[in-house]
Amino acid sequence: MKIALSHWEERIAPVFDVSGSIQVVNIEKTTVQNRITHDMANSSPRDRVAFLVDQDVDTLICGAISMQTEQALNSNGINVISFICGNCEEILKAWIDGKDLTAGPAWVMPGCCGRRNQPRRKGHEFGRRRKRGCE
Amino acid sequence: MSKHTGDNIPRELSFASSILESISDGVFTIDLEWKITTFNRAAEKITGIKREEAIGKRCSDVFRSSMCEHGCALKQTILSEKPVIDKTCFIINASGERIPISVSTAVLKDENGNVVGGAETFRDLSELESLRKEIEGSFRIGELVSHSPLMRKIFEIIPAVAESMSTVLIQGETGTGKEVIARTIHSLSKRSGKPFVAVNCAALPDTLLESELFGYRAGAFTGANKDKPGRFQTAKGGTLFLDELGCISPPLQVKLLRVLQDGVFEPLGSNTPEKSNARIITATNSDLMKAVEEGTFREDLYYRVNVIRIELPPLRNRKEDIPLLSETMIRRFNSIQSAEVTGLAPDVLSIFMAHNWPGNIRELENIIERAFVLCREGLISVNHLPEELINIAAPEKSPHGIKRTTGMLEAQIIRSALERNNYNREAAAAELGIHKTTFYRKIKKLGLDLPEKDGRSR
Repeated sequence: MKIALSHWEERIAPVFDVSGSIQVVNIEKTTVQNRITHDMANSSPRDRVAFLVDQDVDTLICGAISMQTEQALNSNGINVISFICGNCEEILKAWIDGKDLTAGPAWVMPGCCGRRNQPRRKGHEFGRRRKRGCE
Repeated sequence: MSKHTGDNIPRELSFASSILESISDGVFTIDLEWKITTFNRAAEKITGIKREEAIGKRCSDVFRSSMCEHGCALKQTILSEKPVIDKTCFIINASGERIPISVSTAVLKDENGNVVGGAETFRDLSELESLRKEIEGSFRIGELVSHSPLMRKIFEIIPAVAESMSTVLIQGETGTGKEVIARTIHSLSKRSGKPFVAVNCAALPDTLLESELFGYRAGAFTGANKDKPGRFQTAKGGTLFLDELGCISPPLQVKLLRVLQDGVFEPLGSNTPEKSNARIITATNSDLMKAVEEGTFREDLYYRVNVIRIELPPLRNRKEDIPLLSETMIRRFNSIQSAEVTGLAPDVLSIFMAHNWPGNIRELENIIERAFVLCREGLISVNHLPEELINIAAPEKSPHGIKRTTGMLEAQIIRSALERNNYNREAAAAELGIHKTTFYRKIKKLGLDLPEKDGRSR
């Protein structure tokens, strides 16, 4: 399973649409297999969507994101956990541990608790691929 | 010594707090750890975040602006101790809406002159932006933007063209934006949710183009190990844009005619016809009618693709669009490249207006993109332009400089007047305040190539 984190100074980047890098993490069961940080400077939101689709990413964890970009990702079958803030490593660990990142204020950006967000994950879905919208 | 209020708060602080609460600009302050220390009422309103949620949090998590990561104005101010004034960017609110804002910053110091933080004021530009869009509205459809009467006519028919299913032929010189028109038609149509597939017919040799358009079955030729869908199939339910249509060979023209007439095609190596419901938009920079007369393009195919024809004028015939197009491109490049270019210097605009633009809008875009490499903020000046453009557009260096420049300006003014008056020479002369005989003499002297229609004929 591949997840992507919008990355800035070891924290989740404040705005996905303009973030300078994206870290793609390959996870098998509950172990991080490898991670690659990709430079996304000067990429348009459209290029970012195409990049994540091309990388076969299942879930994106990011900060603020414009609704058009979020919709484009969703329609390509990518689960978006948006308006998250904090240290990337802690967030990645919490996600691997099956914690709901959007449940409380710990990792949710100020003013974004209770916003309509992605469906709560029920446990891990490793090995179960989401159906791509374009297939 | 400052007087104190009843709550033992210095009166000046109380005043400052009241002023902060009453103004319509958002204001917040931060300490040296980037944590928010104050957050006024307008800031709550613009961001949609309550003060108690914002205080003590990292400013980038609260503010979420497009420049937090690259080019934070507060960081710049704290490091340089110089204010930043009216820097524009956008923030994203909890609903995922982009809110355009302008930001100004100042450094905060304690009584000993030590920097203790920064203050940021920001103004919601949404209303201004929507007014600007409203003003531009009549000149804009989708990605298209123009002030020209020639383009206005095209803008008027595009919504109706998008509604219909008919095949469209877009004619225009290279770089005039044929694909942009095709995309706009697609995006305004009911097919906008389906794919838009563009194929440049001149980019591929004939055999490859055939397999690219119609696809092939496994075993159709050496190396065809599995079925490959063609562009007609990929564009199912959407729009297929065939650029440089004049370049396809006669045998392929026959196949294309069949798809257009019967809506069926056969992939290479298959005997089973497949249906296509893609809408076809074609484009060419050559004169297809001439090609028909010369026998290189099938007449029946010409009439099949020429159901609706859109003729895009070259940029030299709509130079009044250069400032607007440049502004649109500068805004786009600023956003993509995080630059702060504010516009074109007056002498650059003069050079642009004098240039003939053989490469049309693409050439203009390339020149502005090149200028962005050298110019990251302020106005694009002559130094940021390629040498050849300055030389071409510098007639004052020639012995007949003034005459040539005057001639070019006259030609441009006459062309614009004619376009505004639907090529009615008499009306154009009246608009310019000159006698029609003088007007005709000028046209002849300047060697203007004008259409035969004169605006009076029906």
